[in-house]
Amino acid sequence: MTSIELRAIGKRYGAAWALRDVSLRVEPGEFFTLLGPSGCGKTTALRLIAGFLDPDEGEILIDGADVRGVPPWRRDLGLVFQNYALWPHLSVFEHVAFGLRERHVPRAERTARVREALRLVSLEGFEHRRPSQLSGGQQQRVALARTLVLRPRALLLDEPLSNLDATLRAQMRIELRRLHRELGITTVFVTHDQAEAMALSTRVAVFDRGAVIQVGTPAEVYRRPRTRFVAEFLGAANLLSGTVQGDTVRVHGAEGRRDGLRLRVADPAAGDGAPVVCVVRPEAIQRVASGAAVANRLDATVLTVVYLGGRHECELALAGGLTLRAELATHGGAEAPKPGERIVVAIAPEDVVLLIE
Amino acid sequence: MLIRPGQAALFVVILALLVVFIGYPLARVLIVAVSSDGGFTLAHLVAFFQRGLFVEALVNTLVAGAAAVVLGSVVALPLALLLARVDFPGRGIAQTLALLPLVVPPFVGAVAFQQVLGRSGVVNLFLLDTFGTTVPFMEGLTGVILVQALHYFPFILVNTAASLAGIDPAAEEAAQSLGCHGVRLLWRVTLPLALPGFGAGALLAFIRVIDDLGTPLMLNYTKMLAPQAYLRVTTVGMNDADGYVICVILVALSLAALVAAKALLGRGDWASLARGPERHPSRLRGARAWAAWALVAVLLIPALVPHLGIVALSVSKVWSFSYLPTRFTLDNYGEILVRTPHFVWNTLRYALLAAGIDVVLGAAIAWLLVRGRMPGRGVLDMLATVPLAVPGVVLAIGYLRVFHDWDVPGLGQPLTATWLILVIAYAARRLPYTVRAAYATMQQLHVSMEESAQSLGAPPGRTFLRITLPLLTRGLVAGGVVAFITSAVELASTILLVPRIELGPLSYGIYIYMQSAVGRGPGAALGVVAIVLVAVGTWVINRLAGRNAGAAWRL
Ligand SMILES: Nc1ncnc2c1ncn2[C@@H]1O[C@H](COP(=O)(O)OP(=O)(O)OP(=O)(O)O)[C@@H](O)[C@H]1O
Ligand SMILES: [Mg+2]
Repeated sequence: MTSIELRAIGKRYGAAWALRDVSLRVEPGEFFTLLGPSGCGKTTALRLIAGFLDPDEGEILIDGADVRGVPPWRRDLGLVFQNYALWPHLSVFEHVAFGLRERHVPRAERTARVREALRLVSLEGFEHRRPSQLSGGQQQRVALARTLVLRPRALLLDEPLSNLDATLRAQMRIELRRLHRELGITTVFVTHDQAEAMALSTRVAVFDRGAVIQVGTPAEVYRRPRTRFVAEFLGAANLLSGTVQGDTVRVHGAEGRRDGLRLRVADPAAGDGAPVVCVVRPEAIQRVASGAAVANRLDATVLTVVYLGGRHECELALAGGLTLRAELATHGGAEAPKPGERIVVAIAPEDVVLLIE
Repeated sequence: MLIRPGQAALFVVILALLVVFIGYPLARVLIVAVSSDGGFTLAHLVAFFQRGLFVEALVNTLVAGAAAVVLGSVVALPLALLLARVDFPGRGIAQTLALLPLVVPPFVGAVAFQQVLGRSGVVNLFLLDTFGTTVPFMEGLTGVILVQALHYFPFILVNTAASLAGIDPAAEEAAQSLGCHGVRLLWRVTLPLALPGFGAGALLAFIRVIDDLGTPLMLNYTKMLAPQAYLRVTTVGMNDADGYVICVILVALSLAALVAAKALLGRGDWASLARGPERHPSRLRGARAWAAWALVAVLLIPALVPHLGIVALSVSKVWSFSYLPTRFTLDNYGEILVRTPHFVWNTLRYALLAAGIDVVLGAAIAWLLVRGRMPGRGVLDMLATVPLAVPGVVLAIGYLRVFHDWDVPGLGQPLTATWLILVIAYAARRLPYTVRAAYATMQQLHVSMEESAQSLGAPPGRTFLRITLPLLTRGLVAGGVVAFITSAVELASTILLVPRIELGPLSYGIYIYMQSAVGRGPGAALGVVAIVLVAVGTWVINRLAGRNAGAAWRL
């Protein structure tokens, strides 16, 4: 199995840096996702690995060997394009056999391996179709099969699901995870969809404007974002700025409250008086009974309610002038919140993540 | 759906015009070819295939068409790859140079090639001096093929380059990442994907080659279909059925090629797939840039040098049996501008009128096709497209047949006795250019632009004048300029239709002058005027159509 390592990679288009000082290491067998908004340099990073671009700075190691100057056709990596890049003049069979012919695989073995690859992506019986006679999802599978059949060292996927509709995307997501499990192949996956990244990845690298901001497991980057950008990009978040005081944070903007608003935190990570931002995910806010003895108990007024099935997304006004976004679970017979209702909520100290600014 | 009377009237008038000047003359040609004494017969057709001369002419025409396409492809394909895929300093200039051969009327090119490659041309003089032998480049069919290949290859070039530029870069990168690169990539992916454009260009060039009357006549080689048709009608007479049979066979060949080209380009599965990002070829520098230019030079010099010969010929007093003209003069220009100015004047007049007619008809027809609701639009479309596949000789023979002995009321003489017939012939032959230009633009205009005008109270006719027409102008004018320049150098129908020598346009003048040795100078001067006219027209098209300048030569 193959590892891929980028060391201090920089890539320029003209005068503009598309990537700057990017370092990361994809471990053998990992499903590694490059996640970031449009234009942040994900495709550029993938094409550098594939060999279609040369870095202006830094080096790329595949299985520990520097690949500078090695052309794409010698890197033995399977690249799958965002728009599939199928060839209109070839049938499905010919697509999958394409790379085998380049490698002079004998005919009998070729046919067998093509069949095997088509079975892997559930496309048996489609051998003689042209790309134009396939649905989007089927085209995607052809694009996968033609790379998988070569048993490449690693699979590079550039937003492979972004051209599919929602249902198909969910289905292909499951398919990709199954393939990765069955083949155990090192996979680098590019997407701007955080839900996709969460669902598929072993680890995620979050990109912003050409730089890697944070690398970690999906749970880590979601629950322990290192910057405001990561916190916001990976899902809705309440961001409250404040100042550290012992093991609490004094939150700004709630001065209208009797003695201000203090949130107890699990790990202050900074000394007294340090300015910080508290990240609180909406689902970390829980409704509690009015007399419950829990930390960070807050009185709130419900402003708006949106039913999301199984939970309610609410806007809550705190006494003293702050509003919070919360997702309140309503299963187990709990009563649905109503606009104008006064309720009590609590935030567990370990769910308050501090960003040192 | 309600059909407005104005639209219906317009439709009827235009349909009548197209039937009278395109449909009916062609039908008459066909009818004469398959009838005798008022009854249907295939005897003439059978007789055609029993005459050795005609069969030879047919074979020669097909051979010339095929060979010119093959030879043209040898020049066009490497150029297309180079221009579409490689960036090097001066690429724009190379691109323009590659289109230049189209600018020179083919029969002028024929003279130029004689001067350079002919029996006593520069090259053979050199061969004679150095090796004591000559090569018959320009004799017989070889000469025709050579001239036509080097004249029509840009059709192949432009269409192939368009196809190449349309290939999704990711389709090639995907192949590379699977281990395929270099020549194998070209062979397995790039060229197959460019095939529709190449095929269409090749077929278009093929149509032009079999349509071309001027080149064989200039080179004095008549064993081909177009010259045979011309000779039958001019020497044997208007009632000789053989001439018409040849016409029918010419049209059948062109039509088949046109249909095949359309089918190739219409292959939906080629176009429908998603496209990746644009391609950014890196710019070649230093030795590699020089290598690119060397390739351009090797490919283009054979096509371009003869045309320099025309310019030299036009300013020379004597140029025979010497490498370069020995004495220079401007008398030839004096001759054509002072003594026989009518050739140039007539050309401007006819070509402008024809282009004007085409612009008006083109806009109206496109509007009826895209926005109209009249039944029978298909017929209109067909009649307006079919001239692409009708050789000039055929249309001219049809006109002679239909209009020759019918005095136009109010004119007191037949149409064919006046210069009007030339304008009509040019307009009919070039109509497809303006229709297609207007049609393409109109399809991009959203209906809502017109609907909003209508909802503000403008009826459809007014909407067309105030909204649609202004938006159409660029495309229409570009189409009109193409109609103008191609009309200005049209020879095939001209030779047959010119009523009197002083009514002849420039192409006719060149043809007449070139018949005699003393006329070669003035003929070349007229050729230079033609080149200038067409070059200016091409420049205007470039300004108007910008990046799509090649579009006029595409299918
Ligand atoms: N060939 C190029 N020339 C110039 N700039 C480029 C080129 N390709 C990409 N860029 C720029 O580099 C930056 C990164 O582009 P890249 O394609 O890697 O983004 P991405 O993260 O893949 O975005 P998306 O999610 O939209 O695909 C962008 O700002 C883009 O405009
Ligand atoms: Mg991208």
